[in-house]
Amino acid sequence: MTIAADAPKSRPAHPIYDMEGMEHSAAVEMEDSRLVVFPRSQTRPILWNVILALVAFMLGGLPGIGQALERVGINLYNNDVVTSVLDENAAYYQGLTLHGVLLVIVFTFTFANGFVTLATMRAYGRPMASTLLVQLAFFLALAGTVLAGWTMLANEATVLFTFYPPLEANTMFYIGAVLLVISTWVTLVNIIITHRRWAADNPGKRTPLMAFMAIMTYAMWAMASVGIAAEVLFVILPWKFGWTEGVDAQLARTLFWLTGHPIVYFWLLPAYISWYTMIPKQAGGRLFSDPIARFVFILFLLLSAPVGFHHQFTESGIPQWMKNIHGIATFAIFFPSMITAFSVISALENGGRNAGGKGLFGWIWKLPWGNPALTAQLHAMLIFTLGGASGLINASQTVNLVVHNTAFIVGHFHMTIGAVALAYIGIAYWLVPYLTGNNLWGRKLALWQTWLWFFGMLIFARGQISAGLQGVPRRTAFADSVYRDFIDGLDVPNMLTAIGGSMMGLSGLLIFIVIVGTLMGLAGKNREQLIPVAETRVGATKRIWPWLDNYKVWVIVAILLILIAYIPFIVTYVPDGSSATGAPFPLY
Amino acid sequence: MEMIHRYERFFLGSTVVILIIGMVAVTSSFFVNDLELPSPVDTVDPATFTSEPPFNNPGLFQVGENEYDAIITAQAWAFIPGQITVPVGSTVNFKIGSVDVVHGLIVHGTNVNLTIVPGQISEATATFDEPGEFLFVCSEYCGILHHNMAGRVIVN
Ligand code: HEM
Ligand SMILES: [Cu+2]
Ligand SMILES: [Cu+2]
Repeated sequence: MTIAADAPKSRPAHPIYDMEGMEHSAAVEMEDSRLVVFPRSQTRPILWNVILALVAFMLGGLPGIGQALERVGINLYNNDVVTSVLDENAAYYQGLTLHGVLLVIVFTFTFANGFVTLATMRAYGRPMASTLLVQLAFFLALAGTVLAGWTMLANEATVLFTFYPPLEANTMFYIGAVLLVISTWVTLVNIIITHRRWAADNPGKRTPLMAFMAIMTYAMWAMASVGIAAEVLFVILPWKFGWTEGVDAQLARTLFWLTGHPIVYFWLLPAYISWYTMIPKQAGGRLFSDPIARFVFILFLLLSAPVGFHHQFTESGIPQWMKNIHGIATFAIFFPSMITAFSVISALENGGRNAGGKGLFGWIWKLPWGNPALTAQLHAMLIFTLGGASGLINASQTVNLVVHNTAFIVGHFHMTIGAVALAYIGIAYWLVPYLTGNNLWGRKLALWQTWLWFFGMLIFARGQISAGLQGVPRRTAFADSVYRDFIDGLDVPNMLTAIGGSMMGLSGLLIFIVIVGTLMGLAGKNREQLIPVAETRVGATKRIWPWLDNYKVWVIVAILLILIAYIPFIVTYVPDGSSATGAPFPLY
Repeated sequence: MEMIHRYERFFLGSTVVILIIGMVAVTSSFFVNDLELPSPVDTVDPATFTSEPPFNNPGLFQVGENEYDAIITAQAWAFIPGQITVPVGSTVNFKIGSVDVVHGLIVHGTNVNLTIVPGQISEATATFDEPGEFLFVCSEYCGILHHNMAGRVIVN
């Protein structure tokens, strides 16, 4: 496993970046056998990010269990413990807001900031250029989480994670969201400065693959997040501050979805960094091709954003032909996704065969299934495949009218983001040991955890998909609804949702136990923890497809594509001349 | 070593073919079947919503032999009217607007699926060929009694 094992004996006597000594294991040995120790002042904030992410995961997951059990009439929302935390009338939707915000904003952003920062450091073999920015990113995210969390718990922001105006939340909720977004921008700035410094010190060298992916991921997100930033800064906050009378709700939604689709790739690409550059190593194989991996990330940069209308097929403010274009363009993402499937599976096969696997499928059983860090991510890949397939269904304009805003969508995105979450957990199974120097504690429990999530997720998603096809809307306290007895064929779907959801809940509990045990060092210390980094079959020498590394060109093309996709709307949209102000009474 | 392995080339080639077939199939099924997505109809000022046509007088209006306009106001937490009754074989044009926040409309047994954004009038059409009761529900979160926002089409 360790790079150190086959490194030459004569390594430089002095590590290049030994700032505070090897107090714990946050050191890496580079391919040229240079030993690099990362300063604690940077690895600690990375660890805090990961811990904040996991705390958000735990707290955000709890309402999920309530939502799933509610389907079979088990109502946890009038339980005394719950009502001492949540408002007794708003509990379901307050919980759902916490579920959405904590899981898909806080958990994903903080995990990405921590993990991708570390990947950048590992790729360049040097600390981040600015320790201050590493710390700032963490504290911004923390402050954002506290602000948003406090307003949600106070029942002042029960608006769900999409906060469509004119549904109104406490101003601090929006500020909190903005701070969380800014934490990602700060991370990007740090990655770019680090890249520049490295490039200046290493003239003529090609950007390492992992760093290339980090840059692409954050560049894609920085462009995409302009939509949500504009929505909050130019539509929502002026209204909140009383500078405008109301909001243009259609414009706000369009800005929101300019960010709302690519955000899913911001969640996904950190997992892809792991699947391309780390998983092959953990599986005992090699990455198929470095240049093609770069090509894939460029395609994600280009194709993620100019398709936001596919979330707005049912809105009448956007002309059909514009939706048709976004709808068709959406499918293009299938291409880089399939290249990824090929690359990842071939690396796994390579690993399985190296371990003696024979025959067409024999290699599968030879993979190190006993390693929870790997197994969790293998499960994530399997679930994600189904999630992606159901995404093709949603994107089909005709079928969208059948599934839009029904529970079907809930089934779909738990198989995508719920799989990505499992991948993050798998990464955490080596990342937390790496950052703390503690061995992973409860390896068996961790294996149980991932199998439970895997089967639980499939059962849960099947339940939600079937319920959606019967016409059950999403974001609805179903058991309390006036129509719960008027929709046929829900007994089995509701049961599947509850059983699968409970299994996922149990799985979440196991994650908590394993991580706490690891943080407490119950399995002892080990200084040999390393970041897994894969070798490649086809490496990227200077000569192979050098045009891939023209970041500036790709970013410009990406911006042009967004403009092309949105200019027809921008120039033809007539603001409705009105200002929506919401309801004359509180809605939650 | 060759840049793109022939297996990979084969795989990617097939991907492109599948992708193109899929795109053509989805797009042509859309146009061949003459389907429509909700498109701009008209805007409506939330400030004067209840005093100006069409939403000053919501209800069911016969506009043709078998055709009706259902003018519906969506508000927290009800559709007005919450029940409409039409004969078997009727075509109903749902015209719906929101007086407050974003709502949704899903009519069971049909392809009507609208997001009702304040400021916009949304429109969709369905034909009811079978007798029965068809539930319609609000499909976008609109506050704590969102789950009670529903109605029905009675076809007899
Ligand atoms: C214990 C595990 C989980 C269970 C049982 C669960 C259950 C549910 C259910 C039943 C809903 C639908 C609620 C409704 O539409 O009324 C939901 C919504 C949602 N879930 Fe989960 N979930 C779990 C974990 C996760 C994870 C790990 C993520 C992402 C990282 C996630 C992200 C979401 C999102 C974004 C929504 C939509 C919220 C909204 O509509 O505003 N869930 N969950
Ligand atoms: Cu999308
Ligand atoms: Cu509603």
